Amino acid sequence: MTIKRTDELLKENFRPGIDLEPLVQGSHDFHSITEMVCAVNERKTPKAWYVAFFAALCVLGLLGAMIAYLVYFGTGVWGLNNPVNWGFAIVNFVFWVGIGHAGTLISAVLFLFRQNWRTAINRWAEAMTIFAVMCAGLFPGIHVGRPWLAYWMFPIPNQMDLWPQFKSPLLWDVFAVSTYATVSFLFWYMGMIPDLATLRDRAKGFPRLMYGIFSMGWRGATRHWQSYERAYMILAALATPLVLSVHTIVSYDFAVSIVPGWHTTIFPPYFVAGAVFSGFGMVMTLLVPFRKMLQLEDLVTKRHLDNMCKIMLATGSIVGYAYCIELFIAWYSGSGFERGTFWLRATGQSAFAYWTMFLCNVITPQIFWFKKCRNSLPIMFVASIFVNIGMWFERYVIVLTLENDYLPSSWGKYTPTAIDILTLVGSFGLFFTFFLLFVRFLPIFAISEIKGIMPQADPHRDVKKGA
Amino acid sequence: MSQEEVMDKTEESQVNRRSFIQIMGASAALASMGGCILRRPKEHIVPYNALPEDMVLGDSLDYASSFNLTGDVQGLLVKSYEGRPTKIEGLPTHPDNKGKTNAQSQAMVLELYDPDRSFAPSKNGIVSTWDVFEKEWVKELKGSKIAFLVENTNSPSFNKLTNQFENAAWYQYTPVSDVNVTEGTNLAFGSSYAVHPDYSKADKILALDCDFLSTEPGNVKATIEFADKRHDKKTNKMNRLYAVESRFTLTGGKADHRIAVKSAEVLDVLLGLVSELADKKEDLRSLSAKKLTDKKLQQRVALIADDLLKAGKNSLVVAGVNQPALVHALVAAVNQILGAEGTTVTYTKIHDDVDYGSIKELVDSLNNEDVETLVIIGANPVYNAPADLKFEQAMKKAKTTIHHGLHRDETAAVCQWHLNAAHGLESWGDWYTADGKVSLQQPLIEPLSEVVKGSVKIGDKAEKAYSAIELLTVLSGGAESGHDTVSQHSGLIGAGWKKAVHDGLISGRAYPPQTSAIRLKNIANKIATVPVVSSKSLEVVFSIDAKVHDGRYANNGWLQELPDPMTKIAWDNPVLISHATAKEYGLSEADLVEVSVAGVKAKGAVHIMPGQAKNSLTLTLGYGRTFDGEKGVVARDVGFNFYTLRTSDAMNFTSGAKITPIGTYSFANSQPHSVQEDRDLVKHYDLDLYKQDPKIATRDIENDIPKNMQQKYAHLKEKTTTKSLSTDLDFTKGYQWGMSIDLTRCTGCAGCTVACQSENNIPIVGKEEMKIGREMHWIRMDRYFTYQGGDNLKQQQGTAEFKDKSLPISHEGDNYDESDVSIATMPVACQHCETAPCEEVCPVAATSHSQEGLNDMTYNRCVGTRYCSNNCPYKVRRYNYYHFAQKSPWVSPGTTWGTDATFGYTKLDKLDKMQANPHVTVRYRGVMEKCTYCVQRINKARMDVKGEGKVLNDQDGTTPTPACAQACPADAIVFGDIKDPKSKVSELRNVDSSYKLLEAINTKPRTTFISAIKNPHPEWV
Repeated sequence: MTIKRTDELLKENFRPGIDLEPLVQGSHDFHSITEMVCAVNERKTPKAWYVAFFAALCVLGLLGAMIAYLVYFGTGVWGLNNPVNWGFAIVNFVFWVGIGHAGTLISAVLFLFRQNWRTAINRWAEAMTIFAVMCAGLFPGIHVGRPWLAYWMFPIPNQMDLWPQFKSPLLWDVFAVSTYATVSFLFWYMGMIPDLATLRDRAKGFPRLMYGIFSMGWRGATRHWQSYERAYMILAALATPLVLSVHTIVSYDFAVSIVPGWHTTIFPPYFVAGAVFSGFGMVMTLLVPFRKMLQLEDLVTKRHLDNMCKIMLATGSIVGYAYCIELFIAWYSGSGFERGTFWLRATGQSAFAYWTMFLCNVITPQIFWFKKCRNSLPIMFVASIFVNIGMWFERYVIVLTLENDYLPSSWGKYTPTAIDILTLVGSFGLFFTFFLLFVRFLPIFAISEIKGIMPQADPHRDVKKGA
Repeated sequence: MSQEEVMDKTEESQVNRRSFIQIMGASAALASMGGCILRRPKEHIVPYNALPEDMVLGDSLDYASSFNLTGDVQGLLVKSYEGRPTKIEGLPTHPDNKGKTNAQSQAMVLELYDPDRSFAPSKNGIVSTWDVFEKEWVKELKGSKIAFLVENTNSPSFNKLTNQFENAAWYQYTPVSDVNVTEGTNLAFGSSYAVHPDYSKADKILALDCDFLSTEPGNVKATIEFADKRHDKKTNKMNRLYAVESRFTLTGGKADHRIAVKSAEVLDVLLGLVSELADKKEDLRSLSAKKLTDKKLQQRVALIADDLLKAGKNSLVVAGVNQPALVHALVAAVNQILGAEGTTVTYTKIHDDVDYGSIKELVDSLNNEDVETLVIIGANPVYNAPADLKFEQAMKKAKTTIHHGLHRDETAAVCQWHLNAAHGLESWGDWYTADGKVSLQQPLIEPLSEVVKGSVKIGDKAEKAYSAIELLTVLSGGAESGHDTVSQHSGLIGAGWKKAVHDGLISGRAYPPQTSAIRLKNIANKIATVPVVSSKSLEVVFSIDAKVHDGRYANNGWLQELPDPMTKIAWDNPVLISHATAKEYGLSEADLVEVSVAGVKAKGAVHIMPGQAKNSLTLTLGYGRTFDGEKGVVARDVGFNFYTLRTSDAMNFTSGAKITPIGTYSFANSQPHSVQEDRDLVKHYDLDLYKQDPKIATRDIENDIPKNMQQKYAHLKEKTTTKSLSTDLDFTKGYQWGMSIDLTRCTGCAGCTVACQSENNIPIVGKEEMKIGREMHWIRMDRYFTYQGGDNLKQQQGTAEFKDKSLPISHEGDNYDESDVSIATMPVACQHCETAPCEEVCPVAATSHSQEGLNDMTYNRCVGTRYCSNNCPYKVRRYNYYHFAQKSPWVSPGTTWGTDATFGYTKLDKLDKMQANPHVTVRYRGVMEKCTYCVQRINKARMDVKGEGKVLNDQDGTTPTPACAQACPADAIVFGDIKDPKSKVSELRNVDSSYKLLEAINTKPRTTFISAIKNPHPEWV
């Protein structure tokens, strides 16, 4: 029996205006999906990839040089001072952790909520998560004054009788981020096993060996599938609380302190919403150009992008609400220190950062109320860049609250040095190096899952299931 | 495959798998040792084979000695570890400074170890020896016409030695001297006297351009007396201080009322005062003093006059050394007529009758070629002589020029001979105190030499160094022993001499008070000759620096990095200008300017200073030093040299200056934001308000808590806690250390900062790092401007909230009265919070609480997350962004640490390390540090009494004293056991006006402050 192609099936069943746009566009069957996705890995490496990879490696090298310089001379090479003891490093840390949020949200939370459209973006978003968390994890390690002793923050039994101080939010960070990184990696890798096996079966020579090793003997047996789906479900359930916990705990770095402007109970939900917001922003920034370049528009449809825009609108509005509530509570608290902090955020020496943040994060997503904007790739792309910038500045504004705290005598000013800026730039090198490797060598879409949401997979031809 | 098959067992290949791994392991270990984790001293250390009798290793031996700064003498007790002086403390038994010190005497120990000091004589810039010089002296120079130019004339031994030279003329020069004071007394009494104010008896004080709390000679003694008299907590009696001045000084800041006028107009104000006094005191009418044209000012002067009259013999008028002789004469007249003479002010003769000529006379005789050999002892005239004398040109007329001093300075650079001087801690000496007592200076160490410095191999002969006294004995053909000279001239022998050396003072020697009737006619004649200066004309005032004095301490890193008590600017001497004047001349903050006086131009950079008199520029002397072109690593390129504008007819101030902007500049300002923003941190109240409501400080704390939270925070009212938040420590047992800082006493001199730096091995960072805000001071002096323009100070501050952007003070508009600006100062170090926010957030437990209530810092454990500092509401934690200890304190201002730092101690030679306190760890980079309440002193004190089975307490005087409290001349800082109800600190914590900084955030600090009380005139207009 030949299986009909997607477009044929749709012709029979699609009710315009009633059914949602199908999640796989064009004329496809199971085989063409496999061909399309595997082609990304199997076709001859395009020149553009080499150019991009070389550029990313150069920027990664820059990061290495900046770190070496930092470790050799000391944290003084950054623009830090007293009272601003944290600067770009912590800003970048929170920024990257935030970006690393979308992956788990898409793969775990949307999975549990049976949002089928996630299948087109989950692998992609998870990969982004892993690399973003790598970037994030780098910064707390190098920002300490004596990085060679940073391992003291781990509870490693030792002869020096050193033991961490468990009341410090920084320590909670260590656990939260490492747990998140571990679970995200497992989730990503486990989800990839069937697809790795597909690549293995199609490859020859050395790639076959490598794919073979990493697909761990997957044969596609029913038993395998059964175990796989159960494990996937369990991991999704495990990962879901992490979506909330990681950024909640990152926000504790600030919320637990007594610095006016940091010490607020709104931080955990506000940080989580912001993280989802920035994560989707980054996914969109990557997805819009890559789907075009890799000719995968049939799999990442306008409906996917439309959905993502809606999530950005929702989370962006939550973030905007949080900004306003922060201001209100600063006034309502009656505390002069709180009022002063927020007044100076908006009018002080770093006011440009505050208004950049406000404009990018609160105003930009509001355009997604309009369907036109949700359907326009250029608008979407530019908006996502704005969101990335805005979310970086949000963390900048929060960290730089240190400029003005309790005693006016100690108020100071933070000016980033070239090293600060180049380290931030370098972290993108780390991110893109891994990302380009991912795009080249790993199945960038969850082939098996996409097949599962095609009409062919539904014996009752119920296209509405795709909703 | 067996090993034989692959390994070639020839002779060359001795390396097998095992040995390869051994070598690899060893080299890995070596690599890690060479790296940054293991840092062991490279040298072998050899302990004492037989311990000297009076030495306990680790214990300091303290010797009495003296500090002399051009006649300003302090008795010292110098701590010495194994022959190495490390810390200066005041000599408690000394009658003048009573165990207290100031920043400059604290920094004396650093001057000793200055690697830029010269350690050998040189001839025409080439290193020579004393032997060569002495031979040349005897052979060629001794018989010639000699002129001596000396700096200090208050050494009895030195003065006596001047008789040994028959063919010599003697001249004396210091850039800032009390010549106006002696001339003034001469005008008033007909003979020259030294003036001795006694602030301990003065109820009402009028200071005329007289910064007696900071830059004037005798400031330590004055501060001690003033602070003691300031506020009696039991009776609420206070003295009242009026200050009339052009520059905003610490004295003006402490004053209850201040009048900002040009220095030239101080005389007018004084005459206005005399005219008011003349209404009651007929004698003064003969002066026919004019009233001031400014009605408001005259009203204010009338109130002062009234107050002084009421105080009678307990009133005191003082004038600064900057003011002309006429002012001093008038002051003497006013004091005598008010009846203050004999009570609050006394006069004595001036030291030994050696006739020293002035520098002008020296230049004249040089130009007349009357001098063949010029010997300059201590002075640096090429740098600081009046510019019109053209000293450098004149001295070239002498055949031979010889310079004797600590440094190869500007003068040494142009002299043929430079002779290296011994430092005050290396040589015997004796100094007259202001009123004729003799303080003895005892050496603690052999003169340092290149050998000690490490630049010459051990075993080479160390070159000698002579003190001024020894130089004179040698030049006159005597034996070089300074000890013999000083002891001979003391007239003491045997036990008497020993006691004097032990006490640091020859007892029973002070001049009797002198007096005679005021010659009002002379004064009146002089008044008639005073020219009228337009008030619009721009005035320049040459001012001594609160830190580097006349420039002599310019190479002292501690003093350079100490923020100026008033401007809070370090590593610079800004041209101070008022807001209105700056506006008039189109200047803004940190503009590079050209100041021209009588056609001579000098570069400077302006700082807009609140409280500065309009149309008056303050040019601070002592910066812009060049040394001999090689030396002066710290001082070089710091600030601007204004001696080039100073002429012999206008040594203090002159009018008709011009100022034009030529560019921009940047300052290292340690406190860019100088208003409290209505946060009420330095609680300051007028005496009347305080009397009505003694608990006002406590109530103000309650007001800091938001209304809706007050009930919840009711427990804040409890004075002490029994439990620490972080641990199960019991604060009801053992010692519980605490500190009380009395802001009514504190003058803001920042002597505590240098004392702390010296005690705790605190590095300096240089101007560039300070600009970013990375200074390391553990105790800083917060200085806020306050404004008394309205009826209600608080209201005024309230309107200023967050208006500040660029100006250091946030008044709106230009029409505020500079006279009504005041300051509130507050020394802030770690508050040792019982519920310390820093401790909770450290992930590695590097900062934790001790049983005795100290917030301890474990440097070795710190990995440097800096979270503690973020979470410190007082921002007292200091972080080693670089390996500051590596170069400190010999840091040139432009040091950029991020480019030339290397690991290890390679850059420090032996001399640089000698000052360090052996009881305090030197911190490595990446480590947080902060005030420890001088835990090393606490531990030492505890050990000292433990053997005797006693406990530390105030009654026995065994309570440890931190370095800041020890130095504080105002005695504002008191430390002790707060659990002991009889301790002084407990008593002070319980006074009504005691409060905790930021009490509302519930940190429960162990340091408490006592509100600053001022005593304004109730009818002030």
